[in-house]
Amino acid sequence: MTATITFHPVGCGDMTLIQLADDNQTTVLVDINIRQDADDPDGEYRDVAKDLRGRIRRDANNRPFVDAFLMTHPDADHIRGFERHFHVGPLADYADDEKADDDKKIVIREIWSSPLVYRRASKNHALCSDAKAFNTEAKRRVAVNRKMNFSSVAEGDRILIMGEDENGKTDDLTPILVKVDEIFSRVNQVNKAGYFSATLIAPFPKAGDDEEAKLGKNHSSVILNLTLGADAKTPDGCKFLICGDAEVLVWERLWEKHKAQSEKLEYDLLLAPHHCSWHSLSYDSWSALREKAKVSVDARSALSVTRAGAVVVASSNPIKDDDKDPPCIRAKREYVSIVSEAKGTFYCVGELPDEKNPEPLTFNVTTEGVQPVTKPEAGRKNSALFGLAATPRAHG
Amino acid sequence: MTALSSLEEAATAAVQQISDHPRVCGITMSAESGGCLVAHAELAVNLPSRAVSGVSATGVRDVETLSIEFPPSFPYDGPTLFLRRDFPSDLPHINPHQAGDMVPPCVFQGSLNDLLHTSGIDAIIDQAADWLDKAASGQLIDPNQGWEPTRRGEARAIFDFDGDQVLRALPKDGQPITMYSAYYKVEAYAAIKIEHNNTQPCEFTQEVSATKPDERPVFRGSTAVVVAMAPWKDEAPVTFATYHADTVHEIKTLEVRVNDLGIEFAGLRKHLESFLFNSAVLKQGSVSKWPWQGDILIGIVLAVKRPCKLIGSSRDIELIPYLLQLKRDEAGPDLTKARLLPAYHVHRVSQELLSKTSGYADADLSQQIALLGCGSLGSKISLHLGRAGFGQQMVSDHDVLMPHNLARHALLGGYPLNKAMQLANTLMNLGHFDVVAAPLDIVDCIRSDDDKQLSKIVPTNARLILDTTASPQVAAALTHASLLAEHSARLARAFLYNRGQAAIVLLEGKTRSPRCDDLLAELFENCRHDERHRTAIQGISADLVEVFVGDNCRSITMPMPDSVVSRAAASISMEIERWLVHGLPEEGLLLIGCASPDDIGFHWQRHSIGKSHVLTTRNDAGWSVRISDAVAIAIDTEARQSQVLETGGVLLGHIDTIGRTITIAGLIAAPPDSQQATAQFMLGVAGLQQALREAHVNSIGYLHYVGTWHSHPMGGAHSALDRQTLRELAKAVAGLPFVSLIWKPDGFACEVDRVMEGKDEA
Repeated sequence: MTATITFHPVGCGDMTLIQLADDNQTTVLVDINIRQDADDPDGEYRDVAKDLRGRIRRDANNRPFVDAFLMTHPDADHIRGFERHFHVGPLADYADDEKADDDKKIVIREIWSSPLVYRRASKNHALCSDAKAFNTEAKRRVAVNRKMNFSSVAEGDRILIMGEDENGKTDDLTPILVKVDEIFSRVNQVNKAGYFSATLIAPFPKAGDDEEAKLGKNHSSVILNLTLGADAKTPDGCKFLICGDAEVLVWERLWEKHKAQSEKLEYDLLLAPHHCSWHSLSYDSWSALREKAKVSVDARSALSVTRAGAVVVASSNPIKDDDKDPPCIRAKREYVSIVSEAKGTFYCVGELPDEKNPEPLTFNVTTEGVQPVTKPEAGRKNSALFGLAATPRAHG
Repeated sequence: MTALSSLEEAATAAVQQISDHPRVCGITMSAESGGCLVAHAELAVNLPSRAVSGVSATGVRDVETLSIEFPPSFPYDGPTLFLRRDFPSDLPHINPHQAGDMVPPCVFQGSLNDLLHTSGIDAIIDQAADWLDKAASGQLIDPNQGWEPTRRGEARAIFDFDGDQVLRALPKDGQPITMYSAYYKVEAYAAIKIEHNNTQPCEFTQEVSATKPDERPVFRGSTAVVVAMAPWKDEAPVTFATYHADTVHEIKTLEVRVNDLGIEFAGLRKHLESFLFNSAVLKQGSVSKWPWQGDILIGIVLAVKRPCKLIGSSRDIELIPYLLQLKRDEAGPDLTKARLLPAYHVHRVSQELLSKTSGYADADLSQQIALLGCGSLGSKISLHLGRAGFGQQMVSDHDVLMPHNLARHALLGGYPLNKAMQLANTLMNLGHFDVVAAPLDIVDCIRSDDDKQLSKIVPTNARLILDTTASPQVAAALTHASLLAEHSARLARAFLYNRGQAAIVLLEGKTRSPRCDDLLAELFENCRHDERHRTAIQGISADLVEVFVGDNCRSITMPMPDSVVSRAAASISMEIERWLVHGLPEEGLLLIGCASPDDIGFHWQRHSIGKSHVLTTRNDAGWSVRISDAVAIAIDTEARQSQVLETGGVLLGHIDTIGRTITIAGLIAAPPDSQQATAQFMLGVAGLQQALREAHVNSIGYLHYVGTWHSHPMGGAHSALDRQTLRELAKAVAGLPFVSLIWKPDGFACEVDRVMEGKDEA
């Protein structure tokens, strides 16, 4: 099967599904933002849960599942809908087998979670209940892993810890711990080398209280640089940089750290941090300073390690020339300039195919990077008829 | 709406729509020879991101011109698609064409004619755009799926041969082989069949049928198929991993292709030339240099080792067939004038091909089936199974196929006359060469205590014995066949009632429990409670009717049309196929099918039947009493509910006096005037006669009063009083055995008494 990357239209938020080219079509879901209105058939937002369910597989018990789920950080626009759509607790307690497929909770075979990011976020603002539920589930899985001494842990109890926590809290978790700058190829405890490998770029471990305070406020996120195989013979189909809401300080630090060997930050595809926010590129306020706002050269450099034809995707609402941030028109201009230098392309999920009815944006992973997938034209006209039915029409 | 009358109108409308397609950035029209119109659409291609120069690594550009050729018959026939002449042709999914011609992509698995009529012209452009995207990303095929065989396009020649046999015959030194073949040709269509076992020297011969001027001549005769493969290196075939669109159309282009595939062309050419020479020389007495009426046809098959298995095949060696055609030429055969046409290889029919086509690719086809009875139902089931790939059948019947049988038999008559032998021949035509015909008397073979006799109709390691004889005699013989007790095979019976209004399938449980006689009793117990089943089975007309099949010959049979037999045979076969694919259920099965009220549909009800409880009594020379699982459970429940009080009731069953077996399948509750006490149970009489009559009638006369049961909550077998009561009841039904069954907390105790008329027997 062709490996694909799908960005769901979730407004200013992230929801990215990666399907590998292996025979099992292993799935990695990164963040979710399933708004209540998206679950309402008459709601204005697209039913992205249905899109997701349509793409993922069912297990032997007919339960929908993802092989791995990563929450980059615990903000609502990255974890919204978790309680409603995902199963938590031991798989033995799964209660939806008799329900209709649409009502079955999605099983997460392995969770990828960062206690450090969670800690930084919870120090700075109150967390939503979805984030708390995620954290409870992650803690439950860590406890099961400890109890089983990390061996023979069943699907549904598995977890990978992204980055060391402070004060040695993760020191005894070595078998399930991925340290910064480490490369891993395991998804749900299966080695997917050749189809998948990932380098953990961030979060950085704690380095002094001052720095920690700054990082805490600067939207610390899990940052992964993924290498996805195009097929059994092409392990490096594309490099995909995922970075949650990481902001300017993080990118400056990353540039400082990696500028000598910048390929760690190299990408064919970048999911623009923080929904195309200006704060990933600058310390200045866009609405206050507009064109006088200054871009951080280092942050921009960290986000400019492009391969030829690189693609940047903003997972946000349509980007307008206004004071809003995110998405910010000035940030878009920077990304457009970055991809132009590489002869690449910039996409905004909220604008495709049109602003009124954005649809999931899918890329195929090929031997030469990523390739957008165009929806067929046949049938589109008929489905437009359903759109007509949504509005009452007066007849005289 | 006016129908589009001319090609121009239709094509203009299509072009209008194509130009609106979001992937199309420009379109022009031109007229072509042959009355076709061609639209040239500029199609935007999604290149992979790193293809920044505007050309993908596979050589596809960011804008490609798609030529859409509308034939004069458009829109009834769909368009044909072409790409530029220098479009990379080393990609899969490109149809055969001549080198230097426009490149025809194969954008859709089915026919574009059908796609046009189901989804419109937009769908054709969608497919072309998607094809180009995939061509750009090198993902026209998924290497995990296997090697895409060389496209053959609309080839009009078919080669029929066994690929594995051809490969086995090929030497490793790269020398071609010439195989004796038969051909058949009408107009542009040709078929060549390799006769694998024919070792005659190959010679081209030709007969022409049809003589009338307006008739299409049919050419047939013998020819050769020359097969060639690259020589092996280091004891292994050499792998060729590059795709080539098929551009072979004459000897020169064949030479190019053959060289690409590592085959020595001179050797191949020598084989072709010597075949032509020998054919001309062997045609003795002819002075002409072309001693045949029509064209010469020769088969060529190129064998190529690929890096992985071919899609849908277990082989990694691709066989690419070509038809070499030499037009009649008084100057004599000249290979340089030959035309080479792409051909299809069709698999010889085999168990695997049949099972795969039927969707049973993973089924175990070695399972042996003994079919008893090759009548209308049996022959249809046998062929359903055979067509699904299950051809390991031993078919027995000692009857001959009479003309009146043809009204609803799967076979068509002819020789041999015996039904089993003819059925076996038909199964062999389906490629089942292991089928065995047993034109023997089934009862004789079963009744003998000799393993050898039984193995003449039931293979020693058979999985299933299927009795379709509908013969009570065969059923009785099977029920009591001692040899079957230890046999690996499970026994099933299938038969129809009431002119096909009802169909029954019985499958014995593991270790023959429940047995067929138990299941038959269950069937009638079911009828006792289910009026629909009862009516369907019983019917209103007499089942058997005399049919005069000759002046002095008549047959007694159930009149019904072939279609009605097939209705039941199809669903019975579906059930048996499930057993063979997914494994036989452990429990016994009773399947009751009956025609729906409209008498078109058929409704099936399925009952799993647990093991029977078998009690052997010493009285009266050992009657065997078989209690159905349902009856045993019902008695147990009621006895336990009555706690310390004794309780009881009436047993309904069927007596098989020849097999000395009583099968108990139903109960009638104790009449309301019965009396329960701690050490006694008195069976009352109120309404009992009426209930017994009803039970008998509703079970279509199969079940009747065969005994009583009562409980001994404190345990213990028959008391003196019990025996006395039994004797009294037995006397009342003199000549018939009578059962007294006792429930104890630890199981059943059973006695049978029979009083012969005029004398006592104990």
